[in-house]
Order: sequence, then C-alpha cells, then structure tokens
Amino acid sequence: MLNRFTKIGWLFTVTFVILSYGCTTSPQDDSGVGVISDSKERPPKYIYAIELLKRKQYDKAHDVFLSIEPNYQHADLYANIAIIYLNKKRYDKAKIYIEKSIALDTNNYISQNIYGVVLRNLGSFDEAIQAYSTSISKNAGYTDAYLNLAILYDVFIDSPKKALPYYEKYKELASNDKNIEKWMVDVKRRIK
Amino acid sequence: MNVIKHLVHVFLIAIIVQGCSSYKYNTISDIENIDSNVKQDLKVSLTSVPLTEDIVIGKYRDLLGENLNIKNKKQVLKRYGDLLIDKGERLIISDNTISYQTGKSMIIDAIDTFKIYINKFSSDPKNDYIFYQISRGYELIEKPELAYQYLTYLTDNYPGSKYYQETQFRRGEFLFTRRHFSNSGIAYKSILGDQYRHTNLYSKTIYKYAWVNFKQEKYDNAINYFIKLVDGYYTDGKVNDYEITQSSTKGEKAAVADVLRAISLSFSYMGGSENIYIYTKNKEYSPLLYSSLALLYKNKKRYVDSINTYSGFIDKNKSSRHAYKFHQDIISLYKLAGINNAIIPEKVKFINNFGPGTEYQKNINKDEWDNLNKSIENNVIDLATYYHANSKDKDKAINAAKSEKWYRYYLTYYSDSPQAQKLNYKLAELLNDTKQYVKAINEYEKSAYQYTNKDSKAAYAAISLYKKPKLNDHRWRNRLKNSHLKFFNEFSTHKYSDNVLLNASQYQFDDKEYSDAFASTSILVNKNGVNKKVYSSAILIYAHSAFELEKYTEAEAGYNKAYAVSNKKLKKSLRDKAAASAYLSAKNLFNTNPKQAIQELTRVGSVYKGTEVAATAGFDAASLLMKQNNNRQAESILLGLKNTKSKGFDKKNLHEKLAFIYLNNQQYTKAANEFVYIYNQEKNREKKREIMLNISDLYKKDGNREKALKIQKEYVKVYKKPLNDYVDTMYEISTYYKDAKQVKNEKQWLNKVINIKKSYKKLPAGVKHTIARANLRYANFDYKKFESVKLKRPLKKSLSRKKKLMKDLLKKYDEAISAGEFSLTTEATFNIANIYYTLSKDILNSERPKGLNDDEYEQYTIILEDQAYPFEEKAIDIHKKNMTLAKKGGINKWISRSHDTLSKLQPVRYNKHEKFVHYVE
Repeated sequence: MLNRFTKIGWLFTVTFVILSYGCTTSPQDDSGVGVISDSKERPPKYIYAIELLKRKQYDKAHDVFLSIEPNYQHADLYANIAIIYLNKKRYDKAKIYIEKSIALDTNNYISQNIYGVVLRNLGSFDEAIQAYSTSISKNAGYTDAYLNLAILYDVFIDSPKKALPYYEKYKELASNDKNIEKWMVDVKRRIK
Repeated sequence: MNVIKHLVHVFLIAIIVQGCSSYKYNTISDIENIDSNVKQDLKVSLTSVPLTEDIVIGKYRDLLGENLNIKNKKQVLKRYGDLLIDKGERLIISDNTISYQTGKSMIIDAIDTFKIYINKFSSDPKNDYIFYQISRGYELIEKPELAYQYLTYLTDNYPGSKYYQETQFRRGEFLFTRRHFSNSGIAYKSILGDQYRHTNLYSKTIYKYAWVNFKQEKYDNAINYFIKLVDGYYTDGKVNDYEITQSSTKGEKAAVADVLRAISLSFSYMGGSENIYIYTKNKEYSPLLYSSLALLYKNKKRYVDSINTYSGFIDKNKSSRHAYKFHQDIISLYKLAGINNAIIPEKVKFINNFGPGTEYQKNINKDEWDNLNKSIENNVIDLATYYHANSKDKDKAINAAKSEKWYRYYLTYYSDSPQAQKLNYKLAELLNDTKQYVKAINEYEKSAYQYTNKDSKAAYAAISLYKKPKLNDHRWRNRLKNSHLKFFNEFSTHKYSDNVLLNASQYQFDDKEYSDAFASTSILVNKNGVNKKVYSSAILIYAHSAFELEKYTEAEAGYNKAYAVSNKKLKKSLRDKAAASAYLSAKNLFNTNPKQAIQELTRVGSVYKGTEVAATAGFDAASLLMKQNNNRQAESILLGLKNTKSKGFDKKNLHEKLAFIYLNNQQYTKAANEFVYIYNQEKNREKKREIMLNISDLYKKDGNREKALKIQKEYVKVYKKPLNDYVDTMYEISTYYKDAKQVKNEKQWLNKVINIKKSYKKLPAGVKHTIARANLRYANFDYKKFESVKLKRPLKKSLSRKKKLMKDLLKKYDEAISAGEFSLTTEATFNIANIYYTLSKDILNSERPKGLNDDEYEQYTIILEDQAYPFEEKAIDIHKKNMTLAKKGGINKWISRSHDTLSKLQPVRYNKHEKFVHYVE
C-alpha cells in the first residue's frame, strides 16, 4: 500500500517538474516569464495581482499582494513581491521578501535563483554564488541558475575560467540560446 | 408541875446546848453564820414547840435566872452571849436605825454577859474565846480601842490560842489604820511564820505587812513581800507573765491590781525601773511588773518614765515575746506625751527590731507574729506616708528617699495586703512628685496591672508620664507604645482609651512601624462611637500607614475619609495624597496588568483632576499606551497635558514622547517641533547640538528643506565642533542648494567644506571623505566646463585648453579617490573614464581644417581616429576597473553605469543579463 502511494507521489513530482521546466525556459523577451508553483488554490486577489505583474504594473501588483499578505503568507507571494522590487531595482527590499519566501520554502530553487540575482545586484557576489549553487542543488535541471552563475563569474568577477563550465552546462540544457556560442568564444579567448 | 416544868427546861437547855456544842465558832467569820445556828436551834425547838430566835434568846435569858449547875451555867452564859452578839450584829449591819439601836443594845448585853462569864470562870483556859467575842462586840458597837484592849489581852495571855492569828491580824489592822505602822508591822509579822502559810489570812497578812513596810518607806521589804504575793498569783494563775488573767474574779483582779500598783509605787519611789531587773531577773512575770510600773507612770502622766520603763525591759529582754508590745506602748506614749519628733525614729526602730525577716520573728508564735505583723504593717504605712507628706518641705529629697524606702518595704513584705495597690500608687505619686519619672512610671504600671483589680487611673498616669523622662532610645519607645496598647486592651471602656490608642498609633507611625500603626488605627476607624477629633487623627494615620505599606487601595480610601472630616486647610493635601495613593496603586499594575493600570491611571486623572498626580497619572497612562503601541490615544492624552502648568511630570519627557510618537508615525515635522522644545529645555551643550542636528534631519526627512536649511545654518554658526558634524552640515547645505539648483550658493558651501583642510594640518577620516565628496561635486562643475570646450581650429590651442581642464579634473577626481570611500571612488572612476571617452569623442568630432579635399579629409579623420582610440581604450579600461570595485563594495550606481557603458562599448563581453522568472502563478 505504501509503495503504491510512493509511486503516485513520484509520478506527480515528475509531472510537476516537467511543467515547471517548461515555464522557466520560456523565451528571453520581456513578455512575461512565469511559473506555476503548485496545485494549491490561490486567493482571487493573488490571481489578479499576477495578472498585474504580467502587465508590469508593479506598483498595483505590489499593493494587491500586500493587501492579501496578512491572510496569505505564502512563499510564492513573497517571491512575487521580491520580483517586483527586483524589477524596480530596489534590491534591498527585494532581498527582504525573497528571504521571507525562502524561509517558508527552503527547497524553492526559483526563489534561490531570484535571491542570487538580488545578491549580485547588491554586490554580495560570494552569497550570490551560494544562492545559485543552492538553486542548482535543489534542481540540477534549472538552467537559469547555471546561466546566472556563469555571468557572475564572467562579467562581475572577471573569472572566465570559472564561468566556462556553467556556460557549457547551460548550453547543454538550453541549446536554443543563440547568444551562448558567442559568449563562450569570448570566454575561451580570454582564458587563453 | 413546877418540877415537870423545870425538867422540861433542863431537857430543852440540854438539847439546845447539845445542839450548840456541835457549832463551831472558831473564827470571826464563823460567828457571822449565826443564822444557821439559830435555825438549828429553831429546828431543834420545832421538834417540840415552834420557836423564834427571840424566843430562844428569851429562854436563855430565863435560864440565867434559874439555879443551874456550874457547867450548865457556863453553857447558858456562853450561849446566851453568842446568840445576842450574832443577832445584834445582824441588826447593826442592817440599814434600819431602830434595828441598829436594838442590835447595839443586844451586843452590849452580850459583852456584859461575857464579862460575867469571865468573872465567874476566870481560870478557864478556853476563855480566849470569850475575850475574842468581847473584842468582837466592841468592834460592832464601834469601840475599837476597847476591842484592841481585849485583843491585846488575848494575844498576850493566850499565844497558843486558835484565835491568835486572827487576833494579831486584827490588832495589825487596828494599828495600821491609826498609822502605827511599826507596831502594826510587829502584829502582822507575828503571824507570818510557816505555821500560817496555808491559812486564809496568810496572804492578807503578807499583803498588809508589805504595805506596812511601804508606809514606812521600807520599799525594799515592801517589794519583797509584794512579790511573794505575785509569786502566789502567778502560781494560782491569777496573773500570767504579762497581765492579770481574765479568769480571775473581779475582787481578785482588784486585789492583784492593788498589789501590782504597790509594787510599782515602790519601784517608782526607789528610782524607777532600774531596780525591777534586780528583783525580778529570775521571774517569768517580770514583763508584768515592768508593764505595771510603766502604766503607773503613764497614769501619773510621767510619760518619759513610763517610756524608760518599757525601754528598760526591751534593753534587757530583746527577744521577749512581749518586747514588741512594750515598743508599741513606747510609740503610743510618745504620741500621748506630744513628743512627735521621737515617734518616727521610734517606729523605724520598732520595724527594724521586730519587722519581717528579723531574728525576732523566729522567736514568737504565729498568732503573736500575726498580731505584731499587723502593727509593723501599719507603722510602715505611717512611715511611708509621713515622709511622703514631708517630701515637699525642706529636706525633701531625704524625706522622699525615706518615703520611697518605706513604700518599697511595704510592697516587699505586704504585697498581698489589700492596701498594697493603694500604697503602690502613692509610691508612684511620690516618685512623680520628685521628678523620678522612670521609677514613677514603673510603679504606676505595677499599681495598674499587677493587682487583682486593674487600676485605670494608675495606668493612665503612667501613660501621661512617659514623655517626661525625655528618653528616646529604642527600648523606651517600645515601652511607651506597649504601655499605651496595654491600657487600651485592659481599659477599652475608659473615656480616654481611644485617645490612648490613637497616641500609640502616632508613636508607631513616627517609628516607622507602619504595620502596627495601621493595625491600631484600623481598630479606631472601624469602631463605633469614636469621637470626631480622635477619628480625624486616626483616619489620617491609617491612611499614611497604608500608604507607607503600599496598601494603596486602603490609603486612598483613608485619605478620602480624612478629607471628608478635615478642615479646609488640610483638604488640598489630603486630596493630593489620595490621588498619589490611587496613582501608586495603578503603578503597581504597570508590569502585571498594564491595561488595568491604564484604566486606573485614567480614573486618577479624572477623579483627582487638577492635582499634580492627576497630570502624572495621565502622563504615565500615555507612556503605557505607547508601550502597547496605542500611540493615537497616548498622543491625545499627551496633547491634553502639553499646556498644563502641572509639575507632576517631566515636561521635557512629554515632548520626547510626542516626538517618539511622531517619529513612529513618520510625522517628522511634528517630531521636529517637539525636538525644538526639547532643545530649548536642554542645558547640556553637547546634547543640544545633537538635538539640533536631529531637528534638521527630521525637517529634511519630511521634505521641509527650508526649515532644515535654517536649522543647519544656525548649527554651523553655533557648533564648529566636532569637525565631522560641522563639515557634514555645511556639505548638507551645499546639497540643499544643489537640489535647489542655486549653483552659486552650492559652490560657496562646497568651497567652505573644501577650504576646511586649509585650517587643519590633520583631519579625521570622516572629514576627509566629506571634503572629497565636496571636491568631487565641485569637480563635476569643471567637468561640464570640460565637456563644453569643443575642439575647434586651431586644434592645438583648443586641445591644449581642454587638456589643461582635463588635467585639473583628473587631479580633483584623484583627490576624491584618495579619500578611499567606495561611492566616491566609483563615482570619480566613472567620471575619469568618461573624461577619456569624452576626449576620444571630441577628438573624433573636432573641427576639420578648412580646405581639405575628400582624401585629405579621410586621411585626417584616420589620423584623428588613431589619436582618439587610445583614449577610448583608456576609458574602457577605467570602466572595467570600476566594475572590479564591485567585489569590494557591491554594485552601486556608478558601477552600474560603468557596466552600462561597457555593455555598449563591448556588448559581447558585457551586454549579458541574468534570467529569473517574472512571476510565480
């Protein structure tokens, strides 16, 4: 009986990962890359806020999220607020909310990746490396974290040698990214 | 017939004589029993014929006329004489005159009859009886001399007569009455031989003989014989060793008293009591003689002699069981004699000799001791009261001490006496009168509490006296309080009991024994019928005590009750105290039940409105509300208090709290306004300085830059130190002008900042940074100038000018970098990079020489590109360098801008952006 339930749980997880993967590897334009977190029912206002977020109406979205926050303290809600602040380049605020999100869901690799971006913008490079690495450890197939880690080493730490393996891994997982080839050439040139 | 008649007479006589012969007329007293003889005669007669005494006498008279033989004649004469003398004696001693005369005639007849007998029978050896009867007859008809002659004849001629003793005694008496004491003495002495010792007359003879000696002033002899009598009385029990016994008859008592009096007189004539000892040293009854003599003196008002007599006995018989009585008599005699100054010393002596605990007590029996002890007790009282009465006169201290001594003596030995309590009280009064207050209090309290019946008067006297000794030590205070409390407990119905308890509570309160004071006054304030004055004081102490004990609820109630009964003068302070109690009660709830504390404080503020405490309560309520984050209500209360004149709270603190609330509410201007008040109240220059900085910050935070500027300008005028804040404030002013786009003013204030370094050889790091910032900003003005200089013909000239500007700029930016501050460094670095990039672009866009053809133009452009390119490369390198600074301080505006620039200049390398989800559904 127990094995039967375990198998059902495993199938559900695989399905969820596939769906999530699809969302995180959406196109690079700004049309609105998102993720369906889980099957839980969201409050109507939450759904409304997401719609606002998709339309980059950050301030409105922010207010709606905060209005439901007292009764809906969910990791995803805090992650969305962090995204709003990240887009507004309010990295300090973004850091507060993404940390809240991680506190409620430590296995959330998406939040860990956002956390890494926030930390990088705050100049906390070592902590950013840690956050990206955690994201990868939670989900080894999450391409954003590989790319972000490679850019951090490449652009901000000026360590092309360390950046290269992550570009390669990214390329391996997201082969349709056209820029990656050029970047890898440049990195390899600098290594030489 | 005659013969028969004669025979009858003879027979009758024979019978009578026979009958008479059995009578014994041996003594004078026997003669006096004539009635019985007559009766006997009559009795005999009655056997034949009824006869009377007169008939019998008549019959004998008739017989004398008969011719009788000698024997009968002697009998008839003798009998006839006896009958006459007996009858005559009876008639004489009656009070009837006729009878006296008849009796006298009959006695004369009797004497004549006896004389006939003598004449007829002169040789009869028993005629001593006849002579005796004749002398008797003469005595009866009051012819003592004739009687004495016949008595003397009898004693001379009949020394062996049985009437000898009596006859001599009578002779002695005859002579004694005629003061022939010598001869009288001879007569008496003749019958003092041993053969008379057991006769009735013997003691009488001794008595008379003693008197004879006494009369002849032979007191020594007199005493010796009197004492013989006393010996007899003592042996017979008529006297004991001290007095005549009560069992003696009245006559005996009189006789004994007479003897004792004679002895006393003898001693007195011999010079007093000194001789008594000689005569009586072995006599057990010597006290009797001393006493007798003393009494004799007393009766003669010779009181001193009487006293000496008693003293004489006491001196020689200290342990006698009668000694104390004599001493009592001595004291009485002094009184009688009016020798008052001797009474007191004598009483002292009396007590010392015979009082409790002396040897004397052991030597007497219980009954006598009880008697003596009563006397001692009375004398002790006398002494104590005597000295007490004299304790106010001269020698008062000595007398007071003596009085105290005797009171204490009394209380030692007679503490169970009914009078002990009264005397104890008197002792206390004595001590009080002589200002010995502590001792007086001790005795008042003993009088009050140590006897069966408790004495409220004494207890109250003790209480009244406690303050007089002026003792303030702990033990004395405790005594004082205990005495008051004891009084109240013992005499709760006493009219002053409430006052006493009130005083006790006052003492307890003064001594900070608040629990006790509270307990005491609780009784009074809850008791019915306590008078208003006592109640008013009690409720006040009650409230004060409760307050000290932190029983604030009770204290508040107490103060309110006190308020209700107090005069106008006190009302304000009582209301204040009630308010304070209520306030403190609320304060106790601060930590445990802050909500209730707020309610209570609010009540205090409302009920006791107008008091200082009400304001304090309001203030504290606001403080508590603030702790509970109820700043809105707190603000309302604080604003209500803002304009009160109350000193019940720290006004400055009120403004601080308001400032805090406003800071919390981000109402910075309001907060700043409160800080302005705080600034004005603050005395400490350094604190004032900090507050001023704070005020300017707050105005600035609220966007009120003008007010902030005003404060900052004031600040830099007043506070040149510390240099950091001084320079920073000037820098802030420059920033204000920057934002206000008042370039002149901005430059002026930046210059002030920059010029600081001219006044100081060494500057703190913070100041260096600010100067660096100022430099940087000032450099930005030059940068614009640098940008505005276009490279025109002649290129050399314009380029030279631009390079000069560039050189100055680089110098300023280098200075900014040298400050070592991250933001300055990155900004300066970015600007340096931009200078090179601007120069590169300006070279490329420089004015071309006139007259160039296309080739020349192209050639010239290539040359320019060659000239410009190194500057662009230099700019890229510097931006890259700026990027690397992110490792040290993170990414700021200037690093981001360098990154943006590089993204454009080297997109493959730098135009890369992280990926992250744009939302989570």
